[in-house]
Amino acid sequence: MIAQMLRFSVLLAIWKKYRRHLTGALVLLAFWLVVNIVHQDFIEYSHLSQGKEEALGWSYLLKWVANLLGLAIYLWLIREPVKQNSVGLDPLTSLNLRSGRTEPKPKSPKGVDPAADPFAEIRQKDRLRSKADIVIDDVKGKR
Amino acid sequence: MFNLKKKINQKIRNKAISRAQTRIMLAGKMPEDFDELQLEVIVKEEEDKIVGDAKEKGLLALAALLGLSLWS
Repeated sequence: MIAQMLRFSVLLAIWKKYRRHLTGALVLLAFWLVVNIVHQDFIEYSHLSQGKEEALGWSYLLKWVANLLGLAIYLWLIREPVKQNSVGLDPLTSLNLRSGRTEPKPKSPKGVDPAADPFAEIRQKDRLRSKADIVIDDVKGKR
Repeated sequence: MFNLKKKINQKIRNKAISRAQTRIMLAGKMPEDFDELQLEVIVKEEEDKIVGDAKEKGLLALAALLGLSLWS
């Protein structure tokens, strides 16, 4: 029961995250299949009819161009969308964003003014102290 | 990798803060009634609970993946 639920939730998570990639891959595979079928038909046709042999070489080229074009379109469609908030920033900031060197800012909940948020400082801290840590720090400070 | 760890830690922190807020509200108080140290202790406690729960669930998930049944 739990294993099934776990499997289902993992599949659901993968589907939600990679839906675009998966559907795109299926469409690409279908496209390649169609191109291949059409090309096979053309090969048969050129064998049956006389005087079409010179077009056979071109048909292979066309097939590979179509396949690669499909792949390029797929890769273009699944590329990471450009972040809207990077538009309008100064070049240095957007360069830093692109190279991923900026530190991710902790998000405060929507609708909460960061100045009025009593947890604002806590959000920024790397490590929180427990009651015991605070007592130990106090004792250390007194010495 | 390091960025992912930071993101996960921040998610845990945000969850701990929201749980702490709920706990404070249930006690009939407001977060503003507490000083920063007290809030830190409360959030730390909630954070430890979240991490502990996640570890426990992770072990169960691993057991389920390996096909080990803990109930039979």
